[in-house]
Amino acid sequence: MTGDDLRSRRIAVVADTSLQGGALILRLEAEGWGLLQLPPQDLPQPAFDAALGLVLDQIEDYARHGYSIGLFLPPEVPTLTLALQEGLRSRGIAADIM
Amino acid sequence: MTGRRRRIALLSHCLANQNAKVADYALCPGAVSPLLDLLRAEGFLIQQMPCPEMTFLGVSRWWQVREQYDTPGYHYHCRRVARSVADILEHHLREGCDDLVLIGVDGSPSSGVGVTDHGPDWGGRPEDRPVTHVPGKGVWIGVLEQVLAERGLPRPRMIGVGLELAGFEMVTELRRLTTFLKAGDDDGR
Repeated sequence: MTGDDLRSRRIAVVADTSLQGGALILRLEAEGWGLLQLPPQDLPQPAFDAALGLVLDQIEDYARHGYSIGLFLPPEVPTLTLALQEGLRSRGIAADIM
Repeated sequence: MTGRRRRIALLSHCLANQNAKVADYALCPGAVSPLLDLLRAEGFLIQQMPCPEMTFLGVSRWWQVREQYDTPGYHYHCRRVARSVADILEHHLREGCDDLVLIGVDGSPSSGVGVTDHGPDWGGRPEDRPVTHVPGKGVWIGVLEQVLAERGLPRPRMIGVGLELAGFEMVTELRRLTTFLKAGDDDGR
């Protein structure tokens, strides 16, 4: 326990492949974003929906508490992006792709 | 880094996102980058697991000890989360895996691997109460182990990073983690 609250209150939602490294993820880490990894976009149903639902649960709670939510999704994951955007819309959460 | 060997790391959520920690327990603003850097350098595919505490009680939860999480309702929730982790792991394992590890958080009531916390007097109005650390697994890690076994999935080699333990030093923990990771690398040679 540190005695101070060091949390950045900024959540970067990233594709599963992005967490493995690269310029984007290194920049986000350096800027103090917390990373929230999405499930693989080729995960079969219904496993994909279950995993995405858990991610959305977290985003919803962070959003309710005023945390900044950033979606950092590469163009290579269109299915994932659409599913995430639909999930956010259905929960009334505003978040833009950055 | 081995290059050809496929290695998978199941990562406790907060190691990539300290915003999921209870207030005052965060080590840094966001990701624990030295640890992620080490996993990448060792060639691991990183799979972040959801934090069951966060998905159960949210980001504004109070500090709690293991005894408070050791309830049927929390076990049920952990099983739901563990089934999702098992789904994703099963998906990754279709391409093979030579070394499967789980990185937990020692001292945590949920994610402790070798050490968890203990506070039998906790409860009631939130306030600072005596808490000790004891050998044992956190509730989440215990449930996850059960679910992986029930699904017939391999048991990961496990280590807990002592972020929540007194005297934590990043350099020391990274050295310990490096030894652990390299042991799996050597096994296949």
